[in-house]
Amino acid sequence: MEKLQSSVLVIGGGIAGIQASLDLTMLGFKVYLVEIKPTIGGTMAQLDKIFPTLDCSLCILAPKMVDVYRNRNIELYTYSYVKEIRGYTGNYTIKVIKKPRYVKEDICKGCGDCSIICPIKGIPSEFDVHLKTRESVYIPFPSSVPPVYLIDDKNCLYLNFRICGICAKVCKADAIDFLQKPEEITLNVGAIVIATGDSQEMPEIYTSFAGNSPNVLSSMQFERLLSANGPTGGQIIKLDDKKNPHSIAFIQCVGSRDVHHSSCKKYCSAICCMNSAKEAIVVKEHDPNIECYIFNTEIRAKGKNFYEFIEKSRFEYNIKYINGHVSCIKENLDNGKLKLYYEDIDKGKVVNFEVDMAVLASALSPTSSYYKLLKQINVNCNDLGYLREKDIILLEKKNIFVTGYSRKPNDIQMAVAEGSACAAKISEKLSPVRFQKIKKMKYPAEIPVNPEDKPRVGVLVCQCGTNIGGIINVSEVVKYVSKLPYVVHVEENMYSCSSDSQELIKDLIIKFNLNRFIVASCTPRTHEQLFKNTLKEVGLNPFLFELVNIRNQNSWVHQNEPEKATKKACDLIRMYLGKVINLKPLDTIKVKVEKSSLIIGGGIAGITAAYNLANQGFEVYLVDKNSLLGGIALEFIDLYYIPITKNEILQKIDDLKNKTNVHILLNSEVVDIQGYIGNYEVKVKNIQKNSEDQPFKVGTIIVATGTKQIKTNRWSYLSERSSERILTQTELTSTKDVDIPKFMDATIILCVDQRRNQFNNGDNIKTYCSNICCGVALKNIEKLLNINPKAHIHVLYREFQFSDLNAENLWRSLRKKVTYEKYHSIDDIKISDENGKFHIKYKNIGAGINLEYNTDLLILATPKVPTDGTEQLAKLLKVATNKDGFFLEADAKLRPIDFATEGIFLCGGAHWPKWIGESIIQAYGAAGRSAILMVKGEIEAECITCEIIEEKCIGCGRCAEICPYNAIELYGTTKQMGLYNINIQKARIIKAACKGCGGCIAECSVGAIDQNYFSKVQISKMIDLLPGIELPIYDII
Amino acid sequence: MLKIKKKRNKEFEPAILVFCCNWCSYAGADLAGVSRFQYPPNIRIVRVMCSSRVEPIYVLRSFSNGIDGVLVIGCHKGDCHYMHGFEYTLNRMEHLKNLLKMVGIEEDRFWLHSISASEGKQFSELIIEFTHTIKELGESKIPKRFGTMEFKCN
Repeated sequence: MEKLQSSVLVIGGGIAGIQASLDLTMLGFKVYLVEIKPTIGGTMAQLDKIFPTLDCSLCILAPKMVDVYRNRNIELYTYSYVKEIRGYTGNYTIKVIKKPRYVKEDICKGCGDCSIICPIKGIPSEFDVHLKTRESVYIPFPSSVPPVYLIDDKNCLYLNFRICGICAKVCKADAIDFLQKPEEITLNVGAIVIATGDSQEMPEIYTSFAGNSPNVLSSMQFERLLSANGPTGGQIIKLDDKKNPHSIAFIQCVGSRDVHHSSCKKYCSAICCMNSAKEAIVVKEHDPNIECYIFNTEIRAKGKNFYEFIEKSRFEYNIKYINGHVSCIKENLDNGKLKLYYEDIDKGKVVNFEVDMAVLASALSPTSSYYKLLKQINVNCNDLGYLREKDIILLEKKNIFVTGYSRKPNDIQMAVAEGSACAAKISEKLSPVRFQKIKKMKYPAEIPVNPEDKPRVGVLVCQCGTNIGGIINVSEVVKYVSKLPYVVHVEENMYSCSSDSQELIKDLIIKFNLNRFIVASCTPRTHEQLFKNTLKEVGLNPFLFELVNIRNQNSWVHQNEPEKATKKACDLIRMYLGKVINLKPLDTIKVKVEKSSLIIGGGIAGITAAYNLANQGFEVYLVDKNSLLGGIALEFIDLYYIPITKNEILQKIDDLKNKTNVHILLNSEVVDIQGYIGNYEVKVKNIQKNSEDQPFKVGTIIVATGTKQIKTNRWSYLSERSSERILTQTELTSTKDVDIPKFMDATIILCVDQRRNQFNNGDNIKTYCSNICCGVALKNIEKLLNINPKAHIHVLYREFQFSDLNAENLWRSLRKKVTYEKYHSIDDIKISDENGKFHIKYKNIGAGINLEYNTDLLILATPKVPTDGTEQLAKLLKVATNKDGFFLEADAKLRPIDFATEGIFLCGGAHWPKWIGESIIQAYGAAGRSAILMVKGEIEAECITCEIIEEKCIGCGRCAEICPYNAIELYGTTKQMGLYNINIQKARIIKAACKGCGGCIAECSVGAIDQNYFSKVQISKMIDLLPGIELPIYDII
Repeated sequence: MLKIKKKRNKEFEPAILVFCCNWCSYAGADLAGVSRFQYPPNIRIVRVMCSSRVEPIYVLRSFSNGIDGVLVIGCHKGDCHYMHGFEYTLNRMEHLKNLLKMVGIEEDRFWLHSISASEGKQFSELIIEFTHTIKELGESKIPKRFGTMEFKCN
């Protein structure tokens, strides 16, 4: 066998690439992450908020970026590109070119002195999509990773004309290097992940859209405008006269879903409708008086609870949706407004409308670097600019995986799931060489620090060039601190984070026999781990350390008040000293994880996850209520929009049956689950035999219970007489052609009892959209036309909702053969029996008149709901479901396949109705996420956890009630009271599950809970020391 | 009399304690620094992992130590790193506000607020506003009490 490489190349550092990289390292592979831009983060870093949660985008992304930066097993090549890919499956040789930054990456401290002094200003910033300016030496945005500056060689005076060079003179760290050359790096990898993401074409090409007007912005530009660190600091103002706009128009489908212009994209970009609704909501939250109009032809909100988000924007925020296609925007020079010309679809005429600002949701497409890469690996795209599904499968056989927006237009949630899925697929293929290149740090034995030992504290006060030292009088601070009790040694230095300072810290600890350490410098959010590692390297417990923030929260924000800033630094160090002397060494707790997994549900998602995990060498228990594996997919006659055939699924099932490490439990259901992450004990009951199987232990659980389509009782008076002529879409799909009753005229009614809005009200109507009905309907039309090519087919729809790449084309080609008829309200559709036919009467929106016709066959798109028993299962697993009964994931965007409870994962229809292809991706993702926990056989639990003092606990259970991670359990015990032993209840913390938020502490009415590293004593001491210190007689040893 | 009062107001530098959660508001404070948004140097930030860690007793303890103002800053509703943390904080602090009223501490000496990791500007504005409010209120009636650097081993 050819030699497999235990490393992976990830191209693209957006959210998909970041997720794949982090998962891969945890699965035991070395990762080379190559990013063409100077920072990782991709599109998500530029966003202000994300839909549908309206969370701050950077808040949830930045921790992941920092994780990548700190990870020893990810080699990060930013500002680099792939020049050449050679080799064969499992062993590729890659040539990467690292472009010169002219700033030494390992030396630059990110202080920004160079940028302040740089004389070349006013260069449009790429990160802010040209709305803000930057210097010639710059950092893309404040939280860039790596946090390092670079010089723009096109604009730099020194690089072009050999004059200036002033940045090199002001840099105290000597990081500027004008002599840098492009560097060629050769890498050997076993697999490649392509995650190059998306790019938005600048609206300049749409000359008819007044592209030069400063009040016409692309949606990404508008996103920057909304962002608190954007060009206006989050204020919504017009960029020309700086006045607040009174009205903003969001224009959808600019340059997408357009077959007439060659420069436009034929497909739907999938996210713009939701993105515009989100932007409009953010506008309304800033200022409810700004009128927001969304010009659309169809709202496409494909995703979990996205339809409700649109409805919320409409009613709660009063955002107006105008069903119209904007063809042109002109500037009205008289009043400075923008004049929109659009076709009002509902009224059928061309109208114009004036607004202050226009935001163009222009088409998104894969980046140019993506197409260059595809050339290198010799694959071609289809006419949409995307890879064909069969090419993707072929590439995957060659260990090349395409993910994120470069695979298919999709939102962040899918990109994350796909990133995890790639990691799982690679883990399956490279499992023989796992852990071969993973670096493990070896640390010396820990210096014992007993709680009774007198604290001996060392303090290092950082000057950070002039960042701290230029404002705060550091020597004054040192003088003050040296007088404080327990401080054995204090000194100042230039850059505490430099590698020579780490050596200094180690020397000091040994020389002065220190058992606590304080560094006063920048923020713990970026630098705490660095110093903690230094402590580890010298053998001191890393939790005997505290970082005092005197830069970001002191010198930088009090630049004009040096004296007060100095006092503040002294105060802060004094307060933190009070905390530090009360710190205790903490041990990392290791929790054993069983190398086995329980998969509930044997549908396509369950099978995929089981197959992947079994091939990685884990024990798998696959439980299904039915007597056959394969779930709903096998009942279908055809599988839609996916490159997998039924035979392939059957083959996979056979393979599973033959594997010794797979236990298939059919006709069974889970009746009991006890335990926590890594150690679950599961009891399964056979429904047929009504017997309980031997309980077994698993480390992780994957939920893949799927969805089902329900029937409607609307028109139930019809179905009694002619039930075989009324079918749900699922029924039609799973009926053989010959069994379908003869028809000359068929009607497909979409949105039956779902997508509640002002026209479709009532409790029996579900609020959500089942996501896939429209796409299924198209395939069903094909099926019906196949049976009877002469038949007339009506599709009664409200809004088409497919963003699958192929569906759009299919819809267009079918337009000639069927009639798409739009209706408003399902209550308006009256159906009656007439001579063995159905007589349909409804109001057609396009024509504006009532229509009547007879039809033979009725196909209904009724809502999809979770399968039976979902609620019981949720109770067993102690996990949450949403109001529609679907399982609730940990985070809608960044943790779509994890439950909040660790060790349990989610995939397929149990999460939300979705395409089989998406279910498969999620199933791989869930398998990968659970393999991460099992692969090492143990996991390290969070160190900063809570602790319950048993004697104080009264067993009221309030802590257990509010703990979001189910990390507190109540147990029964006996207490001796005089002559009697009485049964009482106590609470205890499951350390493996505790995340250390400390929310339970304040909830406890008897003060029985405390937190490591943020204990009651420590925080109280800090509060006491704020006003000042009373100096008792103390002795420094 | 008026003159003296004015002079006193000018000299009065309040001591303000701020609790920030690690994931949102502390990050917002960091961003204010990175973006160099200036604010008065009267605040001292104590970092906790989640705003729900802040026990109401800490606020009372601060006031009894003579601290002039206390500010608890968490995340925006729904942003919480620990899912519902800030909602718990909201509940508890509402109760606390009533208690403070009963004790006779001016309502405005204690604020509860939300700052996200991208709201550097808002953070500095909040601090400016709060410091201004406390300066208007004047020094706390409770005299300042200095703490001791005692070391407990248990």
